[in-house]
Amino acid sequence: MGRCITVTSGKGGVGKTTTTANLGMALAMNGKNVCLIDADIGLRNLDIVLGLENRIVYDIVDVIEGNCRVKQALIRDKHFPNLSLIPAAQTRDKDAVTPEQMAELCRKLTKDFDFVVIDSPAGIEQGFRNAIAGADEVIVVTTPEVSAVRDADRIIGLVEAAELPPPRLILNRLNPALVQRGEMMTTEDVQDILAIDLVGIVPEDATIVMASNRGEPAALSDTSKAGKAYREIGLRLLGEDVPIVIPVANEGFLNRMLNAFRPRQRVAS
Amino acid sequence: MSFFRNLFAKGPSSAQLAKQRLQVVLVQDHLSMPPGTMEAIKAEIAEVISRHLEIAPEGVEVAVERRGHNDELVANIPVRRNYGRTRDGAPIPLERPQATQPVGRARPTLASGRAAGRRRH
Repeated sequence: MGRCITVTSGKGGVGKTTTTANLGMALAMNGKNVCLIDADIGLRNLDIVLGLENRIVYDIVDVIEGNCRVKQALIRDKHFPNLSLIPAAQTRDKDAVTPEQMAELCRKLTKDFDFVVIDSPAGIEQGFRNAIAGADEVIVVTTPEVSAVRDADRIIGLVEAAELPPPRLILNRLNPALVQRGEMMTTEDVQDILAIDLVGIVPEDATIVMASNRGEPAALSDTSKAGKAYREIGLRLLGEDVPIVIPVANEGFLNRMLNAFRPRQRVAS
Repeated sequence: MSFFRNLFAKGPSSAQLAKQRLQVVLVQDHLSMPPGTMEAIKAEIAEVISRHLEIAPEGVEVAVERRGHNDELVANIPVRRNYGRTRDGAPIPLERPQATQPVGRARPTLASGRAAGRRRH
């Protein structure tokens, strides 16, 4: 039996789809059989981030309504044949799927795959409920901004109310230079507020935009800092003990010297 | 240059403000109370306590605060020191002649407490 992981956030635009694509890639790079599901029905996006938008024939609603078999809807990744995608339907709305149907689909898929990673839509309504219906665990993505953290807190409450295990946190788009200037909440601040385990920190990184422009997730790149962060999160999901390092800014000589005398930020886990 | 910025910074940084504001708003989100609930809780707590103790109702503070994983209702209720009175609240007769003092359950003002000439502990 594989594990079904839902990536969610509450707020839109914090990096759920990017995270799903990169985690899927990172797990596949480690030889796992991975199926990604785009549960954002009506706003299909995971396909384009993965560069698979031209290969779609059937979608998740076709699978659930029985218009095709599950295997027919699976789109194989260009880089890793052990990575597949079930795309969202673009011309339907979220009510086309019920939580029970979603849970049933997850049950079927976890028989064949080591990991099923679901990209949740933003919000706390039907689409979110569908996305967590079949989940064994939930990963909450947030950025260090008040609106995203507030919504993450709400989502954490809803996940716990759904009697799922406490979700784990990915802190996305941390800007180390801003943190150092005191103009962005630190990792510790966000952890204090949300009080859930951290599974990784992804620094703000222009390579993420470049990667989605090309349709090749940053996890494939050796030079992308964000990609490296995602690969490490993948390893943590596999149970490897990879320490979480808080990203620091590349600064001039003087600041580096001054930083040496400052107390280090700690991550409580 | 953040070192010098921090050295001369006035007030909390925007990151500190963000954290403080979130801590307040999340507690409100968690409770989802109708407006005025806190005020009602405050008034009723004050009323219950004042049946047994003399308190300073204007100093009562009630708030829900985040403590670790939980939200806790925290109340600060200043209690009046009962100088110059018996347990029943009746004034202890003092030898010195006094200005007219409130009798019975009426509350003494701070000034009258000091006028009684007792040392504070």
